[in-house]
Amino acid sequence: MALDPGADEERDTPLLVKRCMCMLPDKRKVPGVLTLSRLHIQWLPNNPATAQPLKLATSSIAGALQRAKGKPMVRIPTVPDAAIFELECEADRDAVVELLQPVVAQVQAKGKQVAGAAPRLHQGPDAARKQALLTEHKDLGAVYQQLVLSGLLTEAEFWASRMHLLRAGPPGGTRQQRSGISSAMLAAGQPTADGRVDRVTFQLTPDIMRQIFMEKPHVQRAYQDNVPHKLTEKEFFQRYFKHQLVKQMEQRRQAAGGAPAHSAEDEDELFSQRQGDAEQLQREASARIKRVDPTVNVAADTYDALGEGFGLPGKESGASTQQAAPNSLFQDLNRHGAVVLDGAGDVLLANQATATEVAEAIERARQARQASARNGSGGASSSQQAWQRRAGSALEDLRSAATGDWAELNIKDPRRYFDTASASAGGTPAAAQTPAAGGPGGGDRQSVLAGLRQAEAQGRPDPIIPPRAAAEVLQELSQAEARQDELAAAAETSLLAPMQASLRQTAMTCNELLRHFWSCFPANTAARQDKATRLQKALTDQYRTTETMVGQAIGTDRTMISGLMRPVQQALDAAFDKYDGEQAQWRASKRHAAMPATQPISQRPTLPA
Amino acid sequence: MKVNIDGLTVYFPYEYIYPEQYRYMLELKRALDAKGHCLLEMPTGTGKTITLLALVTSYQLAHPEVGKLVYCTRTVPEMEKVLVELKELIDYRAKYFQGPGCSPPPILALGLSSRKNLCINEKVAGIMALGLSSRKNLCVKEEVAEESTRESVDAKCRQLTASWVREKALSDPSVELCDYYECLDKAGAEGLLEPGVYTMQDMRELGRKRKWCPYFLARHMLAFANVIVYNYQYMLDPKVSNMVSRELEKECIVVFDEAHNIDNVCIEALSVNLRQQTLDAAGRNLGRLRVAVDKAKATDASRLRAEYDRLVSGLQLQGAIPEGSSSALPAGDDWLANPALPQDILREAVPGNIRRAEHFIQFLRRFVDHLRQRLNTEAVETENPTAFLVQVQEKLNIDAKTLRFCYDRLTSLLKTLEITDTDDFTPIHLVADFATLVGTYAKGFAIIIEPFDERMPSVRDPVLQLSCLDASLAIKPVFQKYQSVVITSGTLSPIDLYPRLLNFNPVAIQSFTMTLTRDCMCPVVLTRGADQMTMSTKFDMRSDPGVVRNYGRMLVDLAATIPDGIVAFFVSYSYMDSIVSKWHDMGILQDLMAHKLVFIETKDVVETTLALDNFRRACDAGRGAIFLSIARGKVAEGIDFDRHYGRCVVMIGVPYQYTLSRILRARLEYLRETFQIKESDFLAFDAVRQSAQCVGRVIRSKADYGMMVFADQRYQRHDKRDKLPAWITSHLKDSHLNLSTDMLLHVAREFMRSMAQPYDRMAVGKSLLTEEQANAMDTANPNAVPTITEVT
Repeated sequence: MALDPGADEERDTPLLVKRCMCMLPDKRKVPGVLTLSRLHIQWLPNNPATAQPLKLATSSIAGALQRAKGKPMVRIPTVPDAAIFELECEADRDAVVELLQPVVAQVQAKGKQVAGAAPRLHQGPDAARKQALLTEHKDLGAVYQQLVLSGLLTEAEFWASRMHLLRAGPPGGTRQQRSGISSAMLAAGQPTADGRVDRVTFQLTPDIMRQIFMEKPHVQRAYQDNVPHKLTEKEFFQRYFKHQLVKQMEQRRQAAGGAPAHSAEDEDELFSQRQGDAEQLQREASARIKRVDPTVNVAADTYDALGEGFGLPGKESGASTQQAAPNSLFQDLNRHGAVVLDGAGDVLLANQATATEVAEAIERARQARQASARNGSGGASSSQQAWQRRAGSALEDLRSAATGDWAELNIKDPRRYFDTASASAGGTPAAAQTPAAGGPGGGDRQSVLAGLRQAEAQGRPDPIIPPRAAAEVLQELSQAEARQDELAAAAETSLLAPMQASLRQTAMTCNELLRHFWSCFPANTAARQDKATRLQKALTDQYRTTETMVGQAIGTDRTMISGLMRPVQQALDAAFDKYDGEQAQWRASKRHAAMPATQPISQRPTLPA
Repeated sequence: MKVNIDGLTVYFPYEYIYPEQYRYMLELKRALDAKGHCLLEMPTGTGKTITLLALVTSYQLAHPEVGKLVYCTRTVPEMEKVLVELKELIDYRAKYFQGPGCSPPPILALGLSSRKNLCINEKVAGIMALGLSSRKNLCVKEEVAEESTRESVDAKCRQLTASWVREKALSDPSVELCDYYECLDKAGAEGLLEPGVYTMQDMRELGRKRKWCPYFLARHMLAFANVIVYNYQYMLDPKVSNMVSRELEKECIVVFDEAHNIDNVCIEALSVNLRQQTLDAAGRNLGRLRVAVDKAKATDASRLRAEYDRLVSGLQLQGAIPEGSSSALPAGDDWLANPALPQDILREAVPGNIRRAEHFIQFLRRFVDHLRQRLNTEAVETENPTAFLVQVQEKLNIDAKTLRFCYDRLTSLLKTLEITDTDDFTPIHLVADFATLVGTYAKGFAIIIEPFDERMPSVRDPVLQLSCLDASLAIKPVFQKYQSVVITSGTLSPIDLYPRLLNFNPVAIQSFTMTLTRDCMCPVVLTRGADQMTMSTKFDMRSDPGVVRNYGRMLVDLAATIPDGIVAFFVSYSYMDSIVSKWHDMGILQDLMAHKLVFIETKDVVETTLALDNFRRACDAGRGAIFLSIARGKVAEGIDFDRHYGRCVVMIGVPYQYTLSRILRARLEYLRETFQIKESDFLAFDAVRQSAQCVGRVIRSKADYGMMVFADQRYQRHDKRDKLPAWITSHLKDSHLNLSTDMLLHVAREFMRSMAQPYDRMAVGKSLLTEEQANAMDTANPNAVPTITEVT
């Protein structure tokens, strides 16, 4: 786009100059002069003391121009705010609009095209994610547009330093650390009584609902069958807790030796387990048991035994034939353990508030698990190997320590790993593949090892930085930062929004460029040198932009802008110094290398003086 | 390493060897040389299994005249572990046989289990529970009926593989057969396994791949295997061993691992119990048989005629089906064999009064009616078989000899009638079992009729039990037939009791102690709670709320102190049931769950298995968990809680048997009269061996470590402590004999902290021997059992 500064200047020639008033945010009307060019809309106040000058890029116009009826006014919507100008007559206003309209249309079409083209530019499986990031973070998008789409940086370079964003998962921060379920179970659903009235209170949170539904599928099923068409959510849970309470009392009475006072009203048929439930649970259990470590499979052992009747009557089971009901507390405990270990998965993550949502999410998760269990028999063999290894290595202390097995290197996402590696190795992934950049060449490894050994022998200064110097730098930086903060606060109130935005934009662009610039050092490969040169050139342009920004400002604005831009300029200066120093070294080494070999040096970029 | 043991080269799959392993091999080798039986106790956590396997397989290599190694395990999980260790051993050994012209010696090892565990035919093994429970008329227990049992799978299998079914299928294509069996049958002589070690999983996978039935393949390959691993009952229970192990040669080396309970297994093998429901169902079975006989008479009288002729000529065993040669596949219609021991089975013609099918059914009906009458009693009756037979003779005019033939006669009839749904006929089977046993044995048995369970006197649940009292009966044929029988376990103390219980003369009897680099075991006796109140599960104390709370608080405190897995064993299921419910009411369970997840052994084996699996996952994940289990249960018998799966084991109470049980009373009386073993001694011995077994679950190697808490005041007494194996008592410090909960926590913290430090396991020479040291031991002192002194 803006590769040739000459073309830029040509497009920046004023097309129309009109006298006009600008409506400031505080509704003041300030007389001044409006200059239109293909790239910018610039307004300068007649009296610089009355207002700040305004410079808008045509590309920042966000919508159609609006004319006021009966008044010679035009509203130009821009990204942060809209600018409103009042011209001397309607004819002038129409002239401005007529001139701007095609430009705006052109720019917007281009913008659309760029935006449309952007997804195509993104490569790899993260394309969607990248696009989402760019649209979500405006600043990032602007920097991207300025640097990548202009060709200053490649796509890979741009994203290399932002791997963490890509890795973080979909925007919105939904992929936080997965939280597990607490081991505690029985606290949920315990009633509290205040002791004054004969009333118990149950607390119910989405977490508790989740626990109830996950551990008691039949309650979940009852919920989904009856709510909302037969019962409301509240009624359902009231009935549920009443049922629980009755059950508990009954158990306590039986434990105390009382006769079972079983009456039909006590049982809530809503929560009775159906025949199908037991069948379902059993089917799940038998599917699971196939994947169980055979060394804990006591069920298989029972299958090997002869049935009831042979041998002595079971020591315990003999007594239990009468009390057919298995201990439900034990079942609950085991079931709770299983649910906790299976983890909530995504059920816990999604923010459901109502029981219906919770129930549906759990149902989905359950079905997904069943489906994966049906398909995923592949895991069986690996778990088989795992238990065989474990069972076979019981006497590990009899093996000598040296014969430790090699563990397989397990990189979760190899592509990402190699992307990062290549980005840090220098420049483009293509460069990483050349042996010089530390690829998998045997000789390289040797040289790296030698280098490491050397570094080890030389040792590092201890401490690496003298504490006094470090303290000074720290102090200076914190003072500078404090000053900067003050300045920024002042600027926020006194500078116009478009000006603030453009300052911000420039600073961010510089930051991004500088980050890439410094990552080129040590510039020990041609690729890195090229990149450094390229970036130095872009930085020079940016420096010029900041200079013009400061130069065009008048009065207090000028001091403010120059103050705000000072750290950027300082950083740029430091980069230029570094570059000049390095460049001298390259020249020297190149001369050195070129002399004996007389090999033509490929594509040396011409460096700006 | 290659160790020279008394002139025998032993391939041992590790770089180092424990000194006690070396001595164990030496002792075992001498017993094998002497062609005699031996009894060896070696502490848990010293690699007994691999030592045994290494020595015996090396012995087989050096002495080809020795037969198979028949390794009997207590449970199926143990069986799988043995096979995996054997696999490692064989892989390791192969390294020594690499090179030109040198191939590793072929070895074939396999495990045998029931059809239920091995069957891969979906139609058979996958039958869903509910379809079955309706078929089952023996509806004793709903939970059991809900799953397909061994019997039902056996029956279903027979329906698809019985010889007459397959014959019928030749003419009638609509008859369903088992594809896997047919494929294996077609493969004929080629249907063999390559040398290797096969776990059950391997067998099933191979079966699926080649479409061969794993069960029949395993049965068929028994004849060719070098190592067979199976359950005790395949060797001890005459019903099963006559069917499976009859063909094994005399030179076999039979090993009973984890044999501390072997006397109970022997007794179980020869016992039968009959409930009211069983007898009712047996009556219905007879009705069905009656109908079947009438039908057969009308349509195919010649078949019954042929059976009669066979019975006259006395070929009751071989006659019913053509007996194939040993290389042929075992047919799908083999039955559980005669419940009596092989030498006690009469080889003569069936008495005339039960030769005819209808007479036999008449006879059975009268017998079942008689048993029903006997069961209909209000008082507990105990009598010996002689008295019972006299009464039968008087009332029914049936003599003992006729009863003895009952089982074979029934089997013959069922085969003649071509009945395949054998699981439906289990009740009449049990009655025939009972008749045969009672007719065969006059001594060492007791018949006990109880109208109700003593613990629940209000509920009438009559049961007629024929209980074997003498453990030596069932194991006698094993000692007689096989050249070397090795009985080994971690807990055989007091070791001189076992030869008396099992009535045999071992050529070697030895109890090994353990050498340790560090005190990786910490047994303690907890007698009081934090409030200094005595803790015990004595009957008069166990339901005291203070005791219940103290036990609960102890677990909570331990859970807060000890990392990873904890196992707690209770004396009985009913006790665990009541105490955990009380903890729940007191809020202790909630406190416990704040620290660790809680899993519980239940009566449902599937649920228990899943709970165990989840327990391991919780420990792997670092969350930590507690497993609540019962002594004498499935978990205590066969599951290891090694490494982080068990850093602490708590034995809550002394696991006495239910002392009021009539069977136990009868057995104690018999022991006193026959072996002069005092009742209280036997009870204490039995209880302590169970607790030793439970606490031994946490140590699986010397690198492992764990605490062992005996939480009962009674363990402090000498009569209990003395019966603990030496490897526990030697680590039991005097200061740890009388702890309260707060002191226990102090000890636990100290122990866990010191054990978690890195240690120099290479204190070689003390608890580990290198190959050179092991071999030097042999040359230095070839004849004596080496005593390990500190080698620097």
